[in-house]
Amino acid sequence: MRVIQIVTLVSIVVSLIASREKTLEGVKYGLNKLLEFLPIFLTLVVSVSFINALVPDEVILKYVGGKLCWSSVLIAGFFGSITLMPGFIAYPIAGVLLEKGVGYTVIASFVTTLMLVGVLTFPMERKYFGTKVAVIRNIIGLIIAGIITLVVAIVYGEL
Amino acid sequence: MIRLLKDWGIVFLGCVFVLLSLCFDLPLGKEMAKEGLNFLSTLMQVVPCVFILIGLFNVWVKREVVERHLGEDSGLKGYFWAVVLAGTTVGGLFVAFPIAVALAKKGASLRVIFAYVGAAGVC
Repeated sequence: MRVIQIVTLVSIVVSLIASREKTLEGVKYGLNKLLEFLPIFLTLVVSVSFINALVPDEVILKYVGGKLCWSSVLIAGFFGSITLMPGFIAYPIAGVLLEKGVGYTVIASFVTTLMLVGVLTFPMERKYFGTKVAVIRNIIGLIIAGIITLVVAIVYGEL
Repeated sequence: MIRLLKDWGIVFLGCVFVLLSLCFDLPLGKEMAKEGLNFLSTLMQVVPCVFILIGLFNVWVKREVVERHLGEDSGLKGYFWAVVLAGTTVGGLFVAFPIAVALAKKGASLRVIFAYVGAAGVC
């Protein structure tokens, strides 16, 4: 996370040295875009935190923990599909699940859908890409998540 | 007015709910506030940087450069650059979406955009 801040700072400095005007124009453009998407980001924060608060960790563990069966893989995929999370959030969650004894296949299903498929984030995605592309991307994401889950199940011998 | 309600409605409801929860000591709202602030601080550390970078990208990178490397005629190399770019994108799809739109506006092909978004999602 620090990396991106450093990269941004260095870029601004380099850009300032090259041209003050262009830098101002670029930063202004970026901040305008940020303001434009702010309601969507905040809506996402409110919805995600509401669901997180409503469904405590123990409940999630109760349904996807324990012995591997396809229903728990599907449930994990369902919860993962609710929203999009970046890798730096998804991987720590996966680590917690692993420590608590959740199987690799279930975690793979959860993490891949968490990163690739998002229902709550769909309005945001639609605003960026349009409905058609957003739908196609989510379906492809779901298919890829399924393939990765299957491969993990085979590799870890949990099939 | 309707637009304002549509854009900010859920945020407004959420804030009211959290405030009421704080007044009446409801655990659900408190938990929600905690989760929300946590999530918000994570997002706010990354997202403004990304948008500033996009702004600078927009000013400095010429359309022809993107078209040449990521456009319709870029072939396999386009996918290669998309994956390399995705590997350097920190923050998952939240960050990748606006960048993808910026690339598309500069003339990258939809196939390459899909490759970029897909790869950025799992990084």
